[in-house]
Amino acid sequence: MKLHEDTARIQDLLGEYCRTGEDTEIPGVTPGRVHHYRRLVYNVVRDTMDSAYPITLAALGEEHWDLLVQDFFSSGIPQTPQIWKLPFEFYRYHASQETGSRIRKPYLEDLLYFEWLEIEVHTMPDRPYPDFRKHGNIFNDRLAINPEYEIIRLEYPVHLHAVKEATDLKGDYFVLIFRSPETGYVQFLNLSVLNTYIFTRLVEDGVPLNELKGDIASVSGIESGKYLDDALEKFIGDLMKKKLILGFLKN
Amino acid sequence: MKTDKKILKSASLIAGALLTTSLAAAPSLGGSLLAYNDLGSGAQVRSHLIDVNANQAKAAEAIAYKFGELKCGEGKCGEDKKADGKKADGKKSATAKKGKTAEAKSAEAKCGEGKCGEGKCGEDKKADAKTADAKSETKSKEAKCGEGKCG
Repeated sequence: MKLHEDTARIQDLLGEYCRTGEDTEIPGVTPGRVHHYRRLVYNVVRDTMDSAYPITLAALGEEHWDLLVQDFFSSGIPQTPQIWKLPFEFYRYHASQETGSRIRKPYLEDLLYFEWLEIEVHTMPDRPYPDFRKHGNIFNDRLAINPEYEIIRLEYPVHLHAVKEATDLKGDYFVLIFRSPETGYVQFLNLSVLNTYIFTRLVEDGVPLNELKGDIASVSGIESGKYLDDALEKFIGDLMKKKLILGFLKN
Repeated sequence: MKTDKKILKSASLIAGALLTTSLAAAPSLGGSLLAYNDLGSGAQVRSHLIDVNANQAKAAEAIAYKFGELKCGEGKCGEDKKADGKKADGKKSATAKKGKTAEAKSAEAKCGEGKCGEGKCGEDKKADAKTADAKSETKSKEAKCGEGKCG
């Protein structure tokens, strides 16, 4: 049902006031009371952000954190009607505004994204599992990968260190985040660049590990032989234990 | 939903390129190239990172308080009580907020993990009364949004 023009205008005014706190004349509002609406709405937003980004909150401290939330709330113009998605808009807003650079906290974008991704992986729609069997050969059979994962690349190791240390360790970091099929909990792995290469080649090429060994050896500079075989066997075996690799493809 | 900026779509290409350059720069990396570590569950990662970041923030505050921020006339002559009062307030609010954020929310209840209806209303008071041991125990659990918060 379309709102009456006046009603829509008043709603917009109230919304604007709730976001910015700037005094405007809103028809029908009792003076001295309207600020409670802003307070209550802001509390919900702040609470949502606190829950979504507890590490960032701890790293920045209350004062800086509150400024970030207020900035987003008043200038970010949140669009989603689903409150659990609001933290993603928060991340996107500050990434687009390059807030991290402006406040001299270059790790900020990485940290917000790292925290958001836990929510995203946890709540992502189910992805279809491949048909798999439990027994097979790690090198000769095609591996069945748990599809509910994401790999991200970070510039700062905010997943390993306090932000102060992380700031001095700029580089390339890979984090694999996946949802355990048994518990539904999100698990984190810090991967080396070679592990990332191996895992993603397995996913993308869908071939047995043996067919990738030559490429792995040449890219890594590690001689193809027992050392590499043992390392690969351990890596894949660990991923199987964690259910990131479910087993072996049936076909 | 995704920004696609950081999520790797063709990670093998990126990783391959990175490997080539990093090996060219540091050919002795061989062994550590295969290293990786399990960071644990979301709750474990959060709990650890909150602790290290909060400790660092506290240390920074302490250093600032000790060495830097006070100007002549601030918090020295005759202002002790005021300063103490502020400090006490600060501690109080920090504690209250810590209770609210770092423990009740951050380590456990993460936005979006919510499964409505799992809440045990009125349990936050119980949680407050728990000891440090109990807290660390609950931190390591994968409690979800709506658990132990209402009421």
